[in-house]
Amino acid sequence: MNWSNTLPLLILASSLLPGIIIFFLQEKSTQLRTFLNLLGACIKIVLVIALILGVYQGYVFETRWQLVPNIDLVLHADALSVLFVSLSSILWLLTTIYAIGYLENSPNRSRFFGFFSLCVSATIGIALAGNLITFLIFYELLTLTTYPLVVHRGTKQCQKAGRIYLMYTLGGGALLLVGVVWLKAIAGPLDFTATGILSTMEHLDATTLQWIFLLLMVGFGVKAAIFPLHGWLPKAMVAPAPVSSLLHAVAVVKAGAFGIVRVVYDVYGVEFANQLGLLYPLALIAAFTIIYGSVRALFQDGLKPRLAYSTISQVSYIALGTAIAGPIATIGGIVHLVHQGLMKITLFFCAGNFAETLKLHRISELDGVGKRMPATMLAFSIAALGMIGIPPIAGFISKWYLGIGAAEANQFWVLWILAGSSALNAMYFLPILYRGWFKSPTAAWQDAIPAERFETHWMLLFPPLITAAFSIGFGVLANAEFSPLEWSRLIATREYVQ
Amino acid sequence: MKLSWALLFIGSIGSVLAGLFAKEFVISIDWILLGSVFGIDDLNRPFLIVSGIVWSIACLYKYSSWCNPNISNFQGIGYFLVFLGNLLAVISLDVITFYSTFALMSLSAYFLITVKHQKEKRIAGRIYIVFTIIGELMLFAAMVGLVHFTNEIEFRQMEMIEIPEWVIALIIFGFGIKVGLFPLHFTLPIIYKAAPIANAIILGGSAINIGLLGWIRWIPFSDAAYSIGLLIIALGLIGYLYAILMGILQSHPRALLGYSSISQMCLIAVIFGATLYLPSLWKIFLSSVLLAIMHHAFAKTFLFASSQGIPSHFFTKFLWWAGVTLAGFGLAGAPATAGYYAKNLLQQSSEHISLLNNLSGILWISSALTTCLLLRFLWLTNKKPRIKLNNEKLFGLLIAFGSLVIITIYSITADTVLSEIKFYYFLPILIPIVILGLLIQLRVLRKPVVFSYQTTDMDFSNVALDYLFSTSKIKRFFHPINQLAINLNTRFTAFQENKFMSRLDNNIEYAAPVWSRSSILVLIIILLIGFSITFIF
Repeated sequence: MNWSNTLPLLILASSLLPGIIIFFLQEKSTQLRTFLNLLGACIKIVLVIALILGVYQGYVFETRWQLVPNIDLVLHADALSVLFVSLSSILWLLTTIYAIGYLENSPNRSRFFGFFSLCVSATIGIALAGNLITFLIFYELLTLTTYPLVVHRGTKQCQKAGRIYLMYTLGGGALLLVGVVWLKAIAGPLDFTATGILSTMEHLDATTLQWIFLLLMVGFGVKAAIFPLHGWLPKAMVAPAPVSSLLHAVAVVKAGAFGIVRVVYDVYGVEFANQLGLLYPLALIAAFTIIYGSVRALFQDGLKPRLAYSTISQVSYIALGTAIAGPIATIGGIVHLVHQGLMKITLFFCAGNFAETLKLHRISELDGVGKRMPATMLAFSIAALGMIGIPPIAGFISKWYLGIGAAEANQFWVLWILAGSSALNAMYFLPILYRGWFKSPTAAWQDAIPAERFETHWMLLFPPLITAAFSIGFGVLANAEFSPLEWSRLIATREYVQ
Repeated sequence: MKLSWALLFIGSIGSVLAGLFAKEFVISIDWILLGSVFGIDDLNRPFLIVSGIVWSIACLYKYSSWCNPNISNFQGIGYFLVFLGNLLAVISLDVITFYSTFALMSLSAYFLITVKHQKEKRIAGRIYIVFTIIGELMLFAAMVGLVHFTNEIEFRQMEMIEIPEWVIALIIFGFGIKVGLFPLHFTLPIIYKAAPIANAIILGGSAINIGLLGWIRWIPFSDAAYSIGLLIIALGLIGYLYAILMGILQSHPRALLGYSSISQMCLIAVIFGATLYLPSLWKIFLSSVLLAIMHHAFAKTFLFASSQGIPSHFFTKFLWWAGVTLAGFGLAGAPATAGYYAKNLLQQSSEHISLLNNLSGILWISSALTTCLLLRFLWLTNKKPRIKLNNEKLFGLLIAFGSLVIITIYSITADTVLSEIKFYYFLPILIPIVILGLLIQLRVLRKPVVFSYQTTDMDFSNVALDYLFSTSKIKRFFHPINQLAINLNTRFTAFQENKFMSRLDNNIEYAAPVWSRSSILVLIIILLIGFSITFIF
C-alpha cells in the first residue's frame, strides 16, 4: 500500500464509512453506534497526525481519480488543508462526545449521527480538495448533509429555518457552479497551487476574471455569512447545540471562509488578485460585516442568536486577513480559522449546557448561573474574553497578526475596525459574564440534569473545558512548534515565495 | 485560605528581595506568546521593590478578612491574578508580554473593586471595566504602530527610530487611563472609594505605577514629539491644579486620596511631556523621576493604610501622625523630601523649555493647595471614631512607615538637590497649617464641611461618564442600525414567503420528522444528479 496515494482517501473514509453504516443501524443499538463514531474519530486523528508529520517534512499526499477526461477528483494535502483537516477532526471527536451526551434518549439518533458523520466527511473533503471541481462537489455535499441536521427536531420553526438555509446555500451553490465552470472553460484544470495558477496565464481577460471572482465570492460568501448573505445563519440556530457548534466552528461557515482563502491564494494568487483590484472591495465588505454582525449581536437576548451574530462578525476576520494582501495578515486570517473555531465551539457547547442542564436560553435568565455551573461558565468566560481579544487567549494572536499585517500593508483603517469590533465584542460578551458570575439567581434552577458528581453530564462538561484549554494553550504557546500560528507561518511562507 | 495567603505574602516579600539583590539578567522564552523576554534592569528594579512592599502591606491588611470564610472567593482569585499580572508586567521586556500581563492585571482588578453586592460598587466596577477596555484598545493600536514602525518587540532595541505622533499619543492616553491623566482621570477616585482599604492600597500604590512603567518602557525617548509633548504639558498642568481643587471638595478620605494621586501623576506627566518635547532631558531626569514615583507610591500606601481612622493606642497613634506628616510634607513637595524631586525637575525643565518659565508661582500655589488637601484628609479621618489596629495591620503600617522613612533619607543623601534647597519653600506648606490651626482655635471652623451631594459628581467628566458606562445608552446609539436591519430583514422574509415560498409550499409536502432510510435514497439521487451535471460540463 502506498501511503502517499491512500492517506487522504483513508482520512475521508474514516468518517464516511461509519456514517453510512450508522444509517442502517437499529435505533436502539446505542453502544454499537457510539463505538463506531468514536472509533472513526480516533482513527481519523491518528491518520491526521501521520499526515501532519508527513506534510511538515515536505511529502506530497495526493489521491487522484479521473472522472472524465480532463476532470479529476483530487484529494491533495498541502499545509493549508492540513490545518483545516486537523481542526475538523479534533473538533469532530469532541462534538461527537458532546452530541452523544446531548442527544441521550432523544429520537432519530441513527439519522442524526449518520448525517453528522457525512457532514464531517464533506468538510474533510473540502479541506483536502485539490482542485476547484472537487471542492465544489464536496461543498454541495456539505449543504445537503447539513440540511437534515438543521431540521433535526422537525418542528415548524425548524422546517422554516431549514428552508431558508437551503434557499441561501443552494442559490449560492448555483452561482458558485457557474463561476467554477466558467473558469474551467477558460483556464483548464484548476488544481490548487501555492501562489496561484491564473497569474501565469496571460491570455485571460481581466474583466472576465473579475466577474468570475464576484461569482465565486458570492457563492462562498453565503456560507461564510458575509453581509448581505448572512440571513440564514441566525435562523439556523434552531438546530440542536452540537450541530450549531459544528456549523459555526468548522463545517459550514468555515467551509465558506476556507473557499475564499483557497480561491484568493491558490487559484488567483494573492498578488495577482490584488493587481486585478479584487481584494480592496472584499476587505471593505469584510470590515463592514465585522462591525455589522457585532452591532446586531448587541441587541439579541437569546444566547444562541447572539453567538450567531458574533460568528458573522468573527468569520469575516478571516476574509479580512485574506483581503489585506500581505504575508503577515495572511497569517492572521488563517490562524483565526483555527482560533475562532475553538473559541466559538466552546461558546456553543456552553450555551448548549445551559439549555440542556437548566433550560436557560435567554441571556436575561443567566443571572447567577456561575454558582450552579462554575466550570461551564469558566469555559464560556475564557472563550468570550478570547473573542474580545484579551491576551493571552488565542483570539489575541489572530487580532495581533491582522493588526500588524494591516499596518504592514499600509492600511491603518483596519486598526479602527479591529478596535471597534473588540469594543463591541466587549459590550455584548461582558454583560453575560457579569450576569453569570456576579448577579444572584432570580428563581430556583429547574434542573433537567441534576448536579451529582459534576455540574452536568460529563459528556457535556468536558468538551467545552478541553476546547477552552486549547484556546488558552494556543495563545500562550503560540510560538511553540506545531501550534496553529507556526503552521500558519509555514503556509504564509509557502504562499508568498515566488 | 491561610496557606494561599501565606503564599501571596511570601511572593511579595520575594519580589522585594529580588528587586534589592538580584543581579541584572535577561531571559528570552521563545515558545511563550510571540517570544517573551523577561529580565531585571535598572529601570524596573525600583518598580519591583515598590510592588513587593505595597503587596506585602496589602496582604497584612487583608489578613483578617482573608481568614474569614464568608468572604467571596473571587477576591482571593482576583488577588492572585492581579499579583501575577503586576509582577510579570514589571519584569517583562517586550511589548507583547507587557501588554498581556498589563491586561491581566487591569482586568482582574475588577474583582478587587466589586467585592460586595452594593449598587455603588457595581457601578464603580462597571466604570472601571469600561475604561480599562478602552485603554486596552488604545494600547493595542499603539502596540501595532510601535512594532510596525520600530520593527522590534523588545523594549531595549527600540531606540532611535522615528515613530509617528499618533502612536505616542495612543501610548500616553492608553496608559493615561490607568495613571489618571487629566481628562481621563475620573475612574481613580471612584474605584478607590468603592474598594476596601487593602485593595485600594494595591490599586493606588502598585497598579498605578505599572501605567507609569508603561510610559517609560513603551516610549523610546529619542525623538522629539513636539505637539504631543506640549499637549501633555498642558493637560498635566491643568490636571495638577484641577485635581487638587477637586480633592479638597471630597468627603470620603479615599476619594480625596484618589484626587491627590491624580495631581501627583499629572505632575509626573508634565515631566514626561517636557522630555517628549526635549528628549535630551530624559537621561538627566530618569533617576529623579524614578525616585519621585517610588516616593509617591510609599506615601500613598501609607495614607491609604491610615485612612481607616486614627488609632487609639499611644504608640500606633504616634506612628500614624508621624507617617501622615511625613507623607503629607512629601506630597506637598517640602524641601528635603522625595516629593521635592518632582517639583525640582519641573524647575529644571523650565530652564530648558521657554514655555515653562514662570512656573514657580504655580508651584507655590500648588504646594499650599496640596497642604490644604492633606489637612482636609486629616480632618476627615479625625472625624471617624478611633480605631484599634490589630497586629497584622500594625505590622503593615510599620512597613509602610519604614519604607517612607527610608526613601526620604535616601533622597536627602543621594543627590545634590539638598545643597540647592531654599528653605522658603516651606512657607507655602506652613502658612495653610498655621491659618487653619488659628481658625480652629478661634472656633470659626468646628466640623469638617461635608458637601451634601456626592462630591465625585462635581467632577465635570462624570457627565460624559454617565453616557459612556450605561449599556442602555450605548444601545440607544446603535439602535437605528439595528432597527434598519430588522426592517429590511422582515421585508425580505415577507418577500420570500409571498412570492417564492408560497409556491414551493404548495408543491412540496414537508415531512421532516420521519426522515428515514428513504431520505438517504433521496440524497443519493440528488448526489448522482450533481455528479452528472459536473460530468456534462
